[in-house]
Amino acid sequence: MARITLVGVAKAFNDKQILDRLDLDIENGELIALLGPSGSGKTTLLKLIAGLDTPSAGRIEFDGSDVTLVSTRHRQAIIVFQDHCLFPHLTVKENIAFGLRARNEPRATIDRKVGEILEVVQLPGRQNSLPHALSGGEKQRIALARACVLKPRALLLDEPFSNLDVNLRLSMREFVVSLQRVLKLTCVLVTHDKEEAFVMAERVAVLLDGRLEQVDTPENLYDRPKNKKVAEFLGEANFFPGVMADGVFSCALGSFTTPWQDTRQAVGMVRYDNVQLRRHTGNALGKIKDKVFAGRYTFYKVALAAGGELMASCKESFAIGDTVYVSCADHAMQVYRE
Amino acid sequence: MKWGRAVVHLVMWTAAVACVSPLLSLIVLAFSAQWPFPHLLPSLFTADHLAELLLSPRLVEAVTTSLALALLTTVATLLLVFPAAKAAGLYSFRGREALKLLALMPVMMPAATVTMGLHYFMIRVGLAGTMLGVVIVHTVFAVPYAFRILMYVFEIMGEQQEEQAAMLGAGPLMVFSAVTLPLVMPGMVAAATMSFIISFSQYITTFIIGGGRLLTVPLLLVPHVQGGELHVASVYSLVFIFTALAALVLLRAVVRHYYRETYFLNP
Amino acid sequence: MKAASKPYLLAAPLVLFLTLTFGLSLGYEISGLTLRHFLAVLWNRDFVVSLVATLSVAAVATLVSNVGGAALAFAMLKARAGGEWVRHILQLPVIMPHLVVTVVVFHIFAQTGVLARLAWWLGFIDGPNQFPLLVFDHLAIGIMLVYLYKQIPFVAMVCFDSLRGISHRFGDVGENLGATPWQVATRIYLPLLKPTLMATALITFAFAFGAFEVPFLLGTPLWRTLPVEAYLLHINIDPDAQARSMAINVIIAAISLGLALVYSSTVREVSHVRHSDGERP
Repeated sequence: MARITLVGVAKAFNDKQILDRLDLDIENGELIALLGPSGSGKTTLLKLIAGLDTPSAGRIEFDGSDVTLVSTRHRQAIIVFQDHCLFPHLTVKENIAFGLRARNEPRATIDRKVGEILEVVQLPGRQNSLPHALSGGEKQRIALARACVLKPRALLLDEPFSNLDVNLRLSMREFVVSLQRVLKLTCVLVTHDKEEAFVMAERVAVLLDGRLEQVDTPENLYDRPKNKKVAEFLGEANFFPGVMADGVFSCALGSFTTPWQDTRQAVGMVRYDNVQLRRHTGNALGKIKDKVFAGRYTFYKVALAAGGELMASCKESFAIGDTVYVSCADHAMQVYRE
Repeated sequence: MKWGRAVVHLVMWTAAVACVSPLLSLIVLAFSAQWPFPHLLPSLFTADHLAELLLSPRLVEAVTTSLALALLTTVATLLLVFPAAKAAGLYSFRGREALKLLALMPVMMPAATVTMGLHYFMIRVGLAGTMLGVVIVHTVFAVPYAFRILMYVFEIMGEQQEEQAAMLGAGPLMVFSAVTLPLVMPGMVAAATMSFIISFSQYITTFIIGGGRLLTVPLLLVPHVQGGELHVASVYSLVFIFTALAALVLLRAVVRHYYRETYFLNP
Repeated sequence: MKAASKPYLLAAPLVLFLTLTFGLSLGYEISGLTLRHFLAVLWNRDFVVSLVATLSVAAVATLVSNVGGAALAFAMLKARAGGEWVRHILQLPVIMPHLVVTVVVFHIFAQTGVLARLAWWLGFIDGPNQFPLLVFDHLAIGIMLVYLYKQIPFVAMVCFDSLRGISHRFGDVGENLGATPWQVATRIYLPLLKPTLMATALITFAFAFGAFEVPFLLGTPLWRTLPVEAYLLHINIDPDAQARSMAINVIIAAISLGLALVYSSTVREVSHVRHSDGERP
C-alpha cells in the first residue's frame, strides 16, 4: 500500500499526445476509479504507474519518493488485465506463487501464503488445476490472488470485468471492493462503465482525451459535472443554450441561479432524471413525441412549444401526443460558461 | 450428390495410397537381393545383405557425421533465430519488414548457387572441408523455416506474459526461464525439427563445401542411385528416414519430460 | 521499460550472419567476372536452352502442383474426417527427402521399373527398351514426378490449413443464398485462398528453378538445368569454365532475388502482433 502521486505526467506516441500533464493524488489504501471512454489513455496511464512504460514528461511518486525511473520489477505496482493473463503452463498454485518465488521466499512460507490467499478468494481446492480448466470468474479471482498475495504497493485493475457476464460481474465487483478493504491496498480501477465506477470507488477520476477533467466523489460527479465534456460523457444530459447575466441564467426551461455575475452566453445542463413532467403546471409547454419503456424508467422525448427537444426519464406514464409541462429544480440546472 | 461423395472418397484413398506406397516400395526393395526384369516380385527375398550393409563402417561414419552436422546446425539456427524472431514477433520497429524479407530469403535462393559462391570464400579462409564450414551453409538454409515458425509463436504469445512476470517481480533471467521459454517451447521444437531435417537432407551443400572429406548419408546414397544399384540405395534411404525419425522422437521425448504441454494460445 | 534499440540488438546476430553469407557468396561470384564472360555465357546456345528448359520445368511443376494441391485441399475439406486423415498422411511426402523420392521414382518409372514390368506382364511390351523413356528423358518427366510427389502434398497441406481457418460460415451463407457447391468453391473460397496460393506458387517455382539434386540424378544427357550446368562448370579446373559458372550463378541469383522481391511485395502475411493494450502496430 502506498500513496501515489502523479505530477505533470504526460505521454506521447509518434507525435500523438495520449496523456497531457496529469496531476493526481491517490491516498494510501484508497480505491479510485479511472473512468473514460475507450482510447482515452486509461490503460497507458496504468502502464506508466506500473513501470511498463516511461512518461514523456512529469514524474510519478510512491510515498513521496520518485519512482519514475524505477523498473517494473522493483516497483511493486501490479496490473491485473482484462484477460487475466494467467501463465497457461503453470498450475494455479504455481501462478500465485510466481511473485513469491521471484522474491526467493522459503518454500514453507510460499505454501502457507498461497493457501491463505486461495481461502480469501474462495477457491481452496484449485491448487493443482491449470488455467484452461477454470471458468472466467475463477480465472479472474486467481489473477487477483496472484497480485494480492504480494501485498503490492498498488493494485491496478484494467477493466477486469468486461469479459464476464452480467451476474458474475456484479458479484466480482463486490468481491474486489471487500478484498481491497481487507488488505488495505491502494487500488486504481480502470473502467468505461460509469455504474461500475460509481458503485466501487470512493473517488472517480474522469479521463477524457488524455486529460483529467474532474476528480470527485461519485455523488458530486453525478450531480455537478464540472463542464460540458464531462456531462456529455456521463450521459443522459440535456443541454440548453441561453444567456447569463447578474447571476441568473435564462433558457427555454426558465430562469436559474448561477454563482457567476458576468454577462455572456452559456449552456445549461439538466439530467434526464431531473426533468420533471407534469400534466398541469410547469415552466415550459411541450408535447410527448416518443416513448421508450426501459424497465426502471420510461424515457420520453419532449418537443418544446418554444422550440427544441429534450429527453426526460421518470416513472409516470404518459402517452405519445400528450401535452405536458416541463420544469426542473433550480439546483438541478448546471450552468457552463462557453 | 451421391457420386460427388464417392469421387471425393476415391480422391482421398488415391492420395493416401500415393503417399504411402513409395515408402512401402522402398521396404520391398531393401529386402530384395535379386530382382531382375521382368519379374513383378523379387526373386530373392532376404535380409542377409542387410547385415553387411548396415554394419559397414562407411555407413556408421555417414550416420554419425549426418547426426553431428544436423545437431550443430539446429543449435546454431536456434541461437541465431530466437532473438531475431522475438524482435520481429513482439516489437514493431522500422526495418521489421526488411528483417522478415532477409530472414525468409534463403527459401528462394538455390542452395547450389549460393554454396558455389561461398565455396570460393571458404577455400580462402580455410573453412573448406571442415565441419564448421558445412554447418554454416546448412544453417543458412535452415534459418528461414525456423524464423517463420518462431516469429509466429512470438506473435501469438505477445508481450503480455513477460510484462506480467516483470510486474510480479521477476528478473530477466526468471522471466526467460519461467515464462518465455516454456511458452515458446512448442515453436522451438518445431523449429528444431525443421532445422534438423533440412541439415540431414543436404547433399550438394555438404558435397561442395565438404569437398569429399565429410561423408553423410545423402552423400553415401547418391553414387548408388547414379549407378542404378537400387537395392543398396533403398537400404540407405530407409536408414536415412529411420535415423531422422528416431532423432526427432528422442528430441520430443526429452522436451516433454522437462516441459508440460503448454497452451500458449489464449483460451 | 523498452529501449528503442532492443529489437535491433536482438536481430543483429541473424542479420549479420545472413548478410555476410549472401554477400560473400555473391561477391565472390561477381569478382571473378568480366562483362565479356557474362555476355559470352548469354550468347551461348547451350545456355539459352538450359535457361528455357529450367524455366519451363519449373513453370509446369508449379502449375500442376498448385492446381492439383488446391483441388486436393478442397476435396479434403469435403471429405471431413477422411480429409483429416489425409492431412496426417500428407506429412510423409513432405518429410521424405528429395533424394529418397528420386530413388522411388527411378524404381517405379524407369525402363526396368515397376510400371515397365507391369506393362510386360500385361503384354504391352516385349522388352525394357520398348517402355517409354520417363526418366532421363528430354521432357524431364521423371524430374517432374519427383517435384510433384513433394509439392502437391505441400500445397494441399498449406491450402487445407488455410481453408480450415476460413470460417465455414461463408459456405453456409453462400448455400443459403442459393449457390451451388461449385460456385461456393470458386467464387467464395478460391478468392480467399488466392494469397496463400500466390505464396505457394512462388515457393514451388523458386524451388524447382534452383533445385540441383533431382535434375542432376534424373536429367537427360541432352540438356541440363541451369544449376546443374553451373555446378559442372564449377568443378572444371579450367578458369574459363569457372568464370562461366560464376556468370550462370549470378544470373540464377538475380532471377531468384527477383522472385524473392515479388514474394515480399505481393504476399502480405497477416500480422498477429498485438501489444498488451490491445493495439496493433
